[in-house]
Amino acid sequence: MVTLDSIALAIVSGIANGMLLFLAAVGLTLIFGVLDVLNFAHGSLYMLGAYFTYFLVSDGGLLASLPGSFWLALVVAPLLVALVGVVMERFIIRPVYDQDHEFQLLLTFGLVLVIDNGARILWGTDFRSVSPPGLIDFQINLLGSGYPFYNVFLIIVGALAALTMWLVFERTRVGKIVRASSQDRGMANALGVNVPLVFTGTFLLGSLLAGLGGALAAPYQSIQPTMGESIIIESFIIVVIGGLGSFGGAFAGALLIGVVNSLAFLYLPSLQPVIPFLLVAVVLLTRPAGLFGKEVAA
Amino acid sequence: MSSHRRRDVLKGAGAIGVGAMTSLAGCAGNQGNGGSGTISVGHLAALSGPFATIGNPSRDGADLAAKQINNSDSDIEIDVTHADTESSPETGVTKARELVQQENIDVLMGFGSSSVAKAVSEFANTQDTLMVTTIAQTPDITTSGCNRVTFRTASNLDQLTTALAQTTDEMTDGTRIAGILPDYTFGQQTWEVYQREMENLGAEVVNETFPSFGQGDYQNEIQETLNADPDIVYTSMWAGDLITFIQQANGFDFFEQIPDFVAGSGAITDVSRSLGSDMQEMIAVDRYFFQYPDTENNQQFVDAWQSEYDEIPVNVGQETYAGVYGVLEAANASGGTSTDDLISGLEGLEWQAPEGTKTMRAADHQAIDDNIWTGRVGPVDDLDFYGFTEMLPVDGASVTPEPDCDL
Repeated sequence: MVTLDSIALAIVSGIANGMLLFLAAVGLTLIFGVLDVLNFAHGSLYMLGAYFTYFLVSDGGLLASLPGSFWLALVVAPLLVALVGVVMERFIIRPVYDQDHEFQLLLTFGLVLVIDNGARILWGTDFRSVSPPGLIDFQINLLGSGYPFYNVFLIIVGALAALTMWLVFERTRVGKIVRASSQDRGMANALGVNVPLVFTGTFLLGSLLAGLGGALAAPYQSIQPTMGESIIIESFIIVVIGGLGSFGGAFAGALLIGVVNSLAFLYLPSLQPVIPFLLVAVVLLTRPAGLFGKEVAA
Repeated sequence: MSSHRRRDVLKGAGAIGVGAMTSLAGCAGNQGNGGSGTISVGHLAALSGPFATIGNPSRDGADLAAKQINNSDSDIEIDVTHADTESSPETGVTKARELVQQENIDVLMGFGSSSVAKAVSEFANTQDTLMVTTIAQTPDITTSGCNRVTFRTASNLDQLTTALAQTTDEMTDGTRIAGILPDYTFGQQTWEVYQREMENLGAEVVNETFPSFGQGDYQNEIQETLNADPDIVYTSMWAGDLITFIQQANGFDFFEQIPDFVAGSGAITDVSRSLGSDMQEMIAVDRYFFQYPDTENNQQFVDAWQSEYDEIPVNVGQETYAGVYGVLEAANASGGTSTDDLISGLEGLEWQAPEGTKTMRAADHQAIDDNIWTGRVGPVDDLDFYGFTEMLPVDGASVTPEPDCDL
């Protein structure tokens, strides 16, 4: 029976899951908004974030013997992913900036195959998992039920990441430069903005966030070379719903998908798998540019 | 059957060693092409993607059996070619067609996914090529969709899940059951059998949820299941999904609140190896677990596997290994290697696998295993992953339904 309590708990779980989706999707939309590149390999960066975390904290890992290894990994793993992202942008994606999106999609899809199969060859197909850190591995009482604090932690981290990004884009000079570069590359360049540097920086930030999403997912989901493939599909759904290139759209879209999935479980379980696609269809028919489509990169 | 009688059956099973199996080959008759020559096996399984965790050990099992047979004094050689189905029925049929029409293979073998097995079974029938399923569990290919060329040398979902339900009944006291089932054919069919058997044993279903395959977030299912307050929770999720489920359920202290957790695939070591200290005790079923039975035959197999691959054999590895030997024995029994010879040799064949005797029922081409391995899974001395802390083997014949197939 569906009670008010079960609805409230489903919404909280939906928001927590939505935050993970947001971290994965926001880099995708950011990179599209600023660089005008659809990076299909973005999900693979998320996968790398989870694997790097595993290898840092598991037995024999670089950080395993240090106290608070998970917390250190939460910083180090995204930085390593960001490094991979920068190399990817500088040497592989930059040459196709001026090509059609089809070329970019083909190229980045090729990258998915290389990265995912590379992971399979290097690390095998065995599933991996990471234990949640003791500090946040407890329950809180939420509406009379024991509820994992890790979910609350996900919500806090996701909200902080969103707030920080919003402040940077809206309130700082760096944010202004990024927005200017995304609106008119040529003009920004003429005004002395180092556009290639802005692009690399944006790719770095997007990769960093995907890596953070993967690191946070490590104690929450089994880790496998193909885990990026499902998250990239969900991420595409989110950025299409929110509006390609829109930062606020990615946030709203991710929470919407998370919460709607949860509520669908309660009310329409048999339709749950198709509901995200129905949402995309409705949004595309009524607002083809997405919910926040008019904004361009933040 | 009581657990004591089951154990007696167990002791008597599987006494013949691998050496004995291969030496039988020398006694082959001389009809047909003389019980000699080469049988070429086309091994088809997912060798990439998430299902590669099943396909790769299956490949290794086929290779090891072929190597042993070819190094023995058998008059028949086994030649194995591998192809990747990518878990897709279309790719499976395409690869099967290449193997049959271009490579001229004699036997199609393997098939990790039930949908691939069904598609290739239909194709094999049109080509009059023998198909030996060693992995896929769907009853369909030996019931409604059975045909002359299709055999399964491993226990199917119906046998395994019935055995699991019986053991659940023996090991637990509760009657309120809840199911968490992957929302595709395998999940639905396992639930149908488990639910039916448990209800026959006096249990009632208090909740059921059907998460998508690879869903990644099971918190709603976990909460709903806890709210239903069941005594027993059953799931047929496996590998990555089961690992994710246990990770998230731990966050809710799920296993402290549920008296008994039953996971059909929980004994497969990938789950406990991955989860380490986050793993939970559960009741499970396995087609094969390397410590059982305690026979010389099985020990020889485990040693051979370890020296070849430097790891312990898993269930699907043993099944495909046993499947290759089944084909060899069929050739020996019939004295030929043509499709008709192999079919007539397989029908009614009894042969020794590491896990014990397998009997191929002629009426539906479904193998009946001496034992189906069920019990409680938990930490075991000397293993750095979970094993059976309590083993209750179930007599395979006792959980095999009457044939339901029109060949």
